[in-house]
Amino acid sequence: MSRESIPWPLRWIVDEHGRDTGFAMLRRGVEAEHRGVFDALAADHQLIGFTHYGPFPLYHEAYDGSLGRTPRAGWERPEVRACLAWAHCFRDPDRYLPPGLPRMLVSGSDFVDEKAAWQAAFGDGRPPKRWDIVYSCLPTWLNELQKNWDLARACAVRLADAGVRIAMVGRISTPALPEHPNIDYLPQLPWPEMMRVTAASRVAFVPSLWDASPRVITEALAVDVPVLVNRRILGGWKYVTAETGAFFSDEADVVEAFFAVLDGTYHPRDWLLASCYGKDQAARRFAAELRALAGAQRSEPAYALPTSDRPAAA
Amino acid sequence: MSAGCPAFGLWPLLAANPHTPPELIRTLIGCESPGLRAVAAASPAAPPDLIAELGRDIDVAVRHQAAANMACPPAALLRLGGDSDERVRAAVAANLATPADTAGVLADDAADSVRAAAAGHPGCPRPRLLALASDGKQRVRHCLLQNPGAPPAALEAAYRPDDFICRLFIAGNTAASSARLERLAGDAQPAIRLAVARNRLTPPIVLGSLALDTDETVRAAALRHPRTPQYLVTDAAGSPDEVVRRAAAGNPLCVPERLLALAADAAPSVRLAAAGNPGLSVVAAFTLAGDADGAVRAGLGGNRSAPLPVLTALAADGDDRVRRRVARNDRTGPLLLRQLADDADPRVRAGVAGHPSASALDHRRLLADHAAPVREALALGSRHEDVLVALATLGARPG
Repeated sequence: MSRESIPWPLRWIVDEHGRDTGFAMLRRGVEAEHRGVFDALAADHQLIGFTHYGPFPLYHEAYDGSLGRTPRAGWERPEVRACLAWAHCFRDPDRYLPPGLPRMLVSGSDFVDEKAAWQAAFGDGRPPKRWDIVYSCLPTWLNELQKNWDLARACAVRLADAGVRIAMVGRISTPALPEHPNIDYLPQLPWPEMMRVTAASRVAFVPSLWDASPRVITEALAVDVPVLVNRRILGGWKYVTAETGAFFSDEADVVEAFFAVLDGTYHPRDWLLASCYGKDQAARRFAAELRALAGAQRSEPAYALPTSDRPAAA
Repeated sequence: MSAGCPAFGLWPLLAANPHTPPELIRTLIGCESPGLRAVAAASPAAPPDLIAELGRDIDVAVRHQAAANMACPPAALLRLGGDSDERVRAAVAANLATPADTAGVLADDAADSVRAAAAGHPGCPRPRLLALASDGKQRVRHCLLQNPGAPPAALEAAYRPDDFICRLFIAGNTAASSARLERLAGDAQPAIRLAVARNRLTPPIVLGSLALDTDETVRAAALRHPRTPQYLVTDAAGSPDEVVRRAAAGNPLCVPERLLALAADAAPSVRLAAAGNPGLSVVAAFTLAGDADGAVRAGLGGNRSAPLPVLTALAADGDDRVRRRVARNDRTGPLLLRQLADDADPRVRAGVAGHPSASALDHRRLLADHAAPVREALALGSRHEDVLVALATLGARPG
């Protein structure tokens, strides 16, 4: 299988040399057209389920269509049953994960490349703080659902009325944008530019609800920007601490919650690295979890990184 | 757009200030850096002829910003509507200043992103919107469902009741019919009902039922809504549930007597919500000005309806958070701002630096302030030409 052929729900897990560890990731249900690819991968890899796509592995109408299925019927899918363990994001994993399998609190967002993010944001010098808040949402239904565009729009009006300057990235061609002199609508940006816009903002705003692996949070922390996050967010709540930011509930308290973050003192990047997040630290931590699955004393893998890139030859 | 490399200095901030003299923005047009030219093209201070000229730039990011600028002249928009890059054409199609006939032409564009942007344009001619309702691309239909100017027939043609996303988008659209909103208020999914509760045109009778919803977030959203029947808001003010009282405290319809009681509520979150209520009475404001919780006093300091004597008292508060909010409050007058311009806290001074009512004298004095937040706030918010010109000469010249 080449990189180009591996479907999105699947990824290899490789060591620090890019070699296959014998483990593979499943992060969404597999569609019929990709069943053959899945079967081939599952035949010689141990599958680890990752919670990366809304409430997966549960079914939900928003993600899987309305076919009259109960949420827990999602556990009966062959690809879900094939997983030997789950790397998850949940506060209450019993509600989402099949019982009886090993679990680890690991998410794709843990593996943020913090060095690349820093270089992209500050490689040309430290940008002035042009915005108080940055929010990003690509122009797709999935992003608008997961990044909670409805709530974001309601909050943006209240924040802008309170004098807060807002950058909304990826929204430039979106219908029904609130018109306000304090809101700048930016197009979808290449990743390095997104890091610079984040670094040019005082707070990263994450009103997401069903985002199971919010990379936007760890990327903000990686460029030393605190976060303001929806209290009900599905995943990523573990990154919000006294050192990194705060929660808010809805448009009624977002203004006060924002000013509380603005008034606070945070050390987001220091916390991220001290908590063993970031690409290499997360890969070593994940590898330790995989070794523990094997039970008996095992030294491999020492490093485990999910990737869409085809593994290097052994 | 690459913002903020050393040669940029404060230019991206100056360009974002609508009061920056146009001749300063013109100096960016000849810059080698496309990032700076893009900053100029996006500037609210850029004159139309400059935007039109930047619309001919060789760099697509510059043309994109020009196409998205609402001050871009109609002739330039028409020309950019034929750009070779679909991102530029999509920006034209989404620009609210784009004439209806130009948006109509773009509704037939070969690129999905352009048709989607046209489908979301409230001025797009109705026959075009009706045609887009049956577009083969889901994103186009989704944008139509979010268009507040879409005719009912187009919304109904694009609507798929079995599609969660369709229901979500139409529930949040102010053009949705009352009948549709009433049906969606009974949806099995809380997210749909919440979108109805947030829709500013949802009828009161529908909001009344949502105020009794089984889901806490839906109830709270309905109780915050300014169209919710007042008797429900009044009842909510006496609820044993803190979330419900907080929602009532933030509703402008909350009657003064209840709001006064909520200003003395045991829960700080309720008092904080009351502190931000635009309908706050003078008595309630003075009650909150003496609150033991600095966060509550800070919330009051940010309330545009707070009476001047209260703001004056809060401007001398010992808590930095309170003075910062007063410094940012649009209603704070020049005399108080003069006092706050000498504050020891740089973020208080930054509030004065960005304030629309701050005097030229105060802004000139703040030019000597070395704190980065103060400089940034001056560049973004000062209305005084000499201050902005002085800031433009600080640091490296654009190259």
